[in-house]
Amino acid sequence: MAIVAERTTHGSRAVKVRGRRLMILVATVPTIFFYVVFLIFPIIYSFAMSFTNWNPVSVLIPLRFLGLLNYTKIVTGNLFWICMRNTIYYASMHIGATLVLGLVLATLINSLQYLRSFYRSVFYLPVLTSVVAAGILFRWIFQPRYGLINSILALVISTFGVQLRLPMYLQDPKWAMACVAIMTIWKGLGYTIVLFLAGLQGIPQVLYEAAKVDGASAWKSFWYITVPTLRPTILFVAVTGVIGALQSYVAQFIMSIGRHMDQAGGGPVNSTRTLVFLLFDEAFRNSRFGYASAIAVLIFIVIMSLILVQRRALRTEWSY
Amino acid sequence: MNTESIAQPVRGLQGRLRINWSQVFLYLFLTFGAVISFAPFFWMVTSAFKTPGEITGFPPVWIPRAPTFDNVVAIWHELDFARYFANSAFITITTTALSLFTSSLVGYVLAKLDFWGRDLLFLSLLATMMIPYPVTLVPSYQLMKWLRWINSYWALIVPSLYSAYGIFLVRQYMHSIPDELLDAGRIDGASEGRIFLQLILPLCKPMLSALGIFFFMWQWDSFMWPSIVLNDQKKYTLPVGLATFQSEFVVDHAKVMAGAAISVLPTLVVFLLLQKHFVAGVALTGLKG
Repeated sequence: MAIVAERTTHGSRAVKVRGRRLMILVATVPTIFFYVVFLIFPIIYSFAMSFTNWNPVSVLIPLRFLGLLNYTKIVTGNLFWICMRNTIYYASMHIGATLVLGLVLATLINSLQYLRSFYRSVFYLPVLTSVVAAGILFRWIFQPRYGLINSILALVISTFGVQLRLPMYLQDPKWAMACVAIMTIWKGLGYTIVLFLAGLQGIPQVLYEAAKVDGASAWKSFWYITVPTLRPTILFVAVTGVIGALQSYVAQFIMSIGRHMDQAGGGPVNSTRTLVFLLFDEAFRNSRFGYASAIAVLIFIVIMSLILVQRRALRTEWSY
Repeated sequence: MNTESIAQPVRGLQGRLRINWSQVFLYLFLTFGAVISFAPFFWMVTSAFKTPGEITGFPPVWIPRAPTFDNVVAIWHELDFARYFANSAFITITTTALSLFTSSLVGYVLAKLDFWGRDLLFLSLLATMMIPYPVTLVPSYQLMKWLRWINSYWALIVPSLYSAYGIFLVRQYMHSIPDELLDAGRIDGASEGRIFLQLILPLCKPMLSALGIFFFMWQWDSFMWPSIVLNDQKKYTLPVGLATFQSEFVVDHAKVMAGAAISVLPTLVVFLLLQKHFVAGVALTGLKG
């Protein structure tokens, strides 16, 4: 590569640099190529095909343009709305519990004199388990007959002689999604705690001392110092958490599949079927790629509008 | 472990012993929470060493009386667990190393070199992070079919070569490296490539360690995409293998738990090795949200 004389980034002085152009080309051209080929083109292609009867398996069916038929079928059908309700139900449980527990536990850990990193590590341990491992672990824990929770409850019942009907957890449509949420809260809490702890370290101790001098209770300093200063972190956790929870699938799948992998999960009675679950089944079980693409577009619209709403909320939060 | 610190008295001004009750209460409360959080993990690990009698025993057996390695041996021999493990290790190490390299290269160039369209490129990369993954599922599968990568590891490695998230974090981190340092290297006659490899990369070690943990965990835990593009059981990654396990061994919980426990080990090791960089890494992701 020829010697190229250019100004450096900050433009303070010109320094002769060798290989700058090559460096820029090596960094940018493959990146652009990658994103065009593996992201932008596929998404545009899939969007276009969401108006067709695209089916990758049966070559015999000719590709036909259907207009908005896929979309109207989805929106007028029952299943889409069931999945939508399940997804929102799951997302609100997951986010609500993670935010509240994460904030409270992080604040408590932060006010410890000793062993802070010990407690942080204990709560972080579940984050290291994979969704699949955590899913099968909690299936076993929630197992109605021999599972850990009902064993402990049975022990309590036999010791104290209380009358209690033990829940069936994952086999009960009323409980199943809550059980999935308990698993993902357990798994995700440690990450949120670490995020909040990092934020808490940025709060000057002087503020708390001043509040103490003024006679503020611990609760008041939490509410009027900790929460407002942590607002950016809280918003970050809320935004990324909601986006993640709306795309949730693997946890529900692992905790609901039957004896054989090819047996579709989502049960009992569709109670753990999420939007992505629906998309996945239409695409990879029923091979209705066009229909599945239309579901994907709808999921995209739901998530994007939520991001926009949250952005607006974020802006007003900051404008005071 | 905690009793020490609880019992540790706080000396008052007159040298009298005083116990800080709010701290005692805090430790008790947090220990209670920690026990609940730790219990499932503990249950998974000890279940792996239980005999069939203990696994369904009532009252629940927390610690097996005579730990048996039968379950671990069984999944290792009777099943293709070793193969799944090796497959996952290969894919995870390859993609983590490659995407760490591409992230630091692109992140560095976007932060420290000036060229036409740089900011546009960066903003476009940021925008790709907003795209929800379900949207890419069907078309990516179709693309893999066209490329004849179905059932091949190319389908797992190539699509994760670049990470907008990684590029973003490296670019943020680059702002902590002074331009003067780079200029010093340039004046000494180093080429841009050498500056990147010998000056920048060593400086990025802490942040690359944190990013490395993330990449490692994402890839090691990845379930959905591998389960879509791999259909030969011999090529399964560990999570996909585990998921088939639990359906095959639906009754044999000890073996399933053994598999799950072993699958956590590599992440645990990586985390313990790189732990000291980790909190800084998380702080970096949180602040820029």
